[in-house]
Amino acid sequence: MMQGSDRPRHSQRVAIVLTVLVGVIATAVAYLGTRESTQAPVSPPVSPAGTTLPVETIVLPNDEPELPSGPHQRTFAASCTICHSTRLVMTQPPFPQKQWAEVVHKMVKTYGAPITPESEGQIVEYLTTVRGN
Amino acid sequence: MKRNILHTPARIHVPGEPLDRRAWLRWAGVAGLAGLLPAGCARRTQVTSPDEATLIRFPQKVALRAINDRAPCLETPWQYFRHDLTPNEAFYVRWHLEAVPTHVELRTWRLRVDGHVERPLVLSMEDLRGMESVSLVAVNQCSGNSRSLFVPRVPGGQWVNGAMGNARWTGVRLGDLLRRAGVRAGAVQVSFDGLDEGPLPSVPDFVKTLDMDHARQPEVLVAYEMNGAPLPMLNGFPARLVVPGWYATYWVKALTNITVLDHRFTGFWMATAYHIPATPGANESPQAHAKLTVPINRMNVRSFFVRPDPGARAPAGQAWALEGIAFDGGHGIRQVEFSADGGGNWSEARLGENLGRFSFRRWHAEWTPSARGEYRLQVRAVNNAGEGQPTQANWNQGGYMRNVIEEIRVTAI
Repeated sequence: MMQGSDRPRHSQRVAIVLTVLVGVIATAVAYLGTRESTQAPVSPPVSPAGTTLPVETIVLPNDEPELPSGPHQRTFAASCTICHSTRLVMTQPPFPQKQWAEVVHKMVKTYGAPITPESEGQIVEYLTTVRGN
Repeated sequence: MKRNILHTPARIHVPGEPLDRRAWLRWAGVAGLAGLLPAGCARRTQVTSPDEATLIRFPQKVALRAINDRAPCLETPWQYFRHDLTPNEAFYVRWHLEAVPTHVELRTWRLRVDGHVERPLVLSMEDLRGMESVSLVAVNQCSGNSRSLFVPRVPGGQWVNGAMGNARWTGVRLGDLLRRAGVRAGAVQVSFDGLDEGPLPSVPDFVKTLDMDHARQPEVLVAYEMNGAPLPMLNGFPARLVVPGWYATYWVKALTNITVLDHRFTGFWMATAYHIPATPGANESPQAHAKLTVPINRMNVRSFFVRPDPGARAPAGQAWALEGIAFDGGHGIRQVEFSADGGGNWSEARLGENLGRFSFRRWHAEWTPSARGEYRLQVRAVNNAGEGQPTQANWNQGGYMRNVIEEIRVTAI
């Protein structure tokens, strides 16, 4: 009777061990697979003393919001998004036309934004339309 | 959702406006999950929080409040200020110029110390790490932190209160570098330049200066570690200037050049930008701007609640745990008080561990609302120089140096 109840337990144990083993091997294979596919075959730089020096590289996301439609939207996009994302503009509170004109003029005068006097007025018009009060 | 992101400016959570609990949990869950994913896995990097600010994932960072994608400006969500040291991956980010460094090799990176010196230095990271190292805890706060709370509103990055962080900075003393280089007689200022660049030749390079006396102060560091780890790329890898007590505009990131000058620097970022009215509290009238301005400098006193959340609801007749942080420009915090009746009566809070005079100082208090209803909780701090916080918000056109007594609204039920 003891033997009878022992047998199924033994085979259960074998099954569990086998399942775990298969799992571990599968995970290892999967992991090595990813490693090979993502790691570039370049050895890290080594200092004269022989220690490894880190190379830091990041890739910036590109999720900038689209601009709301308005007059001279393309002029705005061509001139203003050279230096900053659309989000900086879209998160501004509404300002009166006079204040937007000051902001745009500062971009031209201080930072050398390549904006002709004609397009400067158009950009102010766009901003006053989408973020005016 | 996209329309929402486009057309809704980052709205400030109005104190006392109750948060929808389910929306909050949903947001917290998404933010939490996003934080667990490695940068490459997060295909959609944006989620929208209940207060409609967009959260965005950047490399080496958890989801942060998006102020600007290019140059990256990312705000720390408020819950991270429950940590004494702000985690590196949640530490706010603020760059000025579009071309920020995204690739740095320590094999080729060098820090130059030259100009009006006897022995110009060219130092590798190994050279820096071979020098005596110093660690200190210091708050790094953007000059324009809380700009979105200015009334009337002002243009610029629309930060709420999370353009700040507290970290343990490790590196070498700037004074030690200057001594090694041998500052010549007649030196006036030291300038600092990093790897960031403008996208057009006309954009002024981001260069900041400190006066010679300040540069020699023992707390000014060139830091290569933040909270015991290399700096995240977006916080200035591989080394940045640390100017404890002063606004973050001076803490030049991805530092490459330290130049001793025998004259006063006249570059845009010192002579024009980051100027404040030369008036008490950097105050000026929206109708008549101050004639005289000076470069922004030492931080003023601030204090905040981190518990409870604005709009929290809890039983009347029971003790609520209040908690927050306070800091200043380096005198250290002497006292924190809170009021539950709109500023009529003030009770002293207990100060937590002192991590140094430049650090956040945590405070705790218990408060038992006697009756049901809405309460205005306010907090104010005083530093060791006796400086406190105003009851009326200061205003200037740059949106700098807000330090009014802060308030949250809660409801006892």
